[in-house]
Amino acid sequence: MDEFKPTDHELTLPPRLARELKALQGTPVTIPRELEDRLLREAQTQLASSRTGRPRPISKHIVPFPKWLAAAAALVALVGVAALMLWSLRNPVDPRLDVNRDGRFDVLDAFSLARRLQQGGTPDPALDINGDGVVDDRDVETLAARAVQLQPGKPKAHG
Amino acid sequence: MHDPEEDSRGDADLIALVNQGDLEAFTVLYRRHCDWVANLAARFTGDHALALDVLQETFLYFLRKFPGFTLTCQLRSFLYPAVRNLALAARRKAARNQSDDGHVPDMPAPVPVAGGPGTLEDSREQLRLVLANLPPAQREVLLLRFVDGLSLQEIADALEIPLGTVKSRLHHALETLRQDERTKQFYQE
Repeated sequence: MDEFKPTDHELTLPPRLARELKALQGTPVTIPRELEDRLLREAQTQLASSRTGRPRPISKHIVPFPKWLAAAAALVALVGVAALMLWSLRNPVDPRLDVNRDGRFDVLDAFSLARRLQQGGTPDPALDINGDGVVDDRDVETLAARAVQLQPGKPKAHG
Repeated sequence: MHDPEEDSRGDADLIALVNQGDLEAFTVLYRRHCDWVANLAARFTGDHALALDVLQETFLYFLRKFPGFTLTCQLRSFLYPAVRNLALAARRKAARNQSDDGHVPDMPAPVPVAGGPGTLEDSREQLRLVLANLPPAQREVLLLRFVDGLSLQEIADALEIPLGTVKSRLHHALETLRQDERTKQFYQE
């Protein structure tokens, strides 16, 4: 850290230099009355709400989220989740495709198979997704392609 | 409404009242410090319109601290980092809008002044050049001390650095002014 310790007396400026330093800062800013009025109005609202114990967001920065919009968003989310659950019940996951055993078939299963192949060892013959007799990168590709298909269907044959 | 200059209550007393929802106390605080905030912001931004934006943002930031705000240092020491950060952000935003050059120095040197050799304008210009060559950290401490009138402890609080560092930076800045040919004259009067 700083070993040097000047005395306060040494830390002074000649008066004219101090004046020039101030003068160099240019003309002072003129604050319009409207700015003060706006700010004090905001303060009045904010402080009034703090008196009642209900903090109110400052309007310029935080726009209150309308309650009806929040309710609509919740309803949409609820319908979406219900539809997804219904779709899952009607389309049970092929246990062969659910490589990572998370109850879903998606691109993560392809990643999971790729990781297993990368780590070596003897892969489960059930993971021969494309039915060519070997479990290899082509099965990964088949899984990935199938996971991103819009309509469920058979994977393209390889080989 | 009280004149902030005549109001004998200290900032800490006024803040205690604002914590209770006293608008008049907030108004006194605002009027007491608004010029300082605006001019400080203008120093950082180099632009009066941007400085007014920073002034407003600074006091909105301050307002959001209530209720429950406790002042642990001088109010200007508390406000300084907010003004500085808001001003630099405003400058960066303005610079992005104007050019592709994203570099924004910490504190702009004062604008050049015109005038021939030996004139008042010339001595100011020489002073400006010496200031511009000071390391930003030294220049910042120098201006806070002699333009804003903050005490050494207030500067230390504002910059969140040890008092010894403030003294050291100020000493080096003053030594430069004392030794530099362009500002030597101020010491020979």
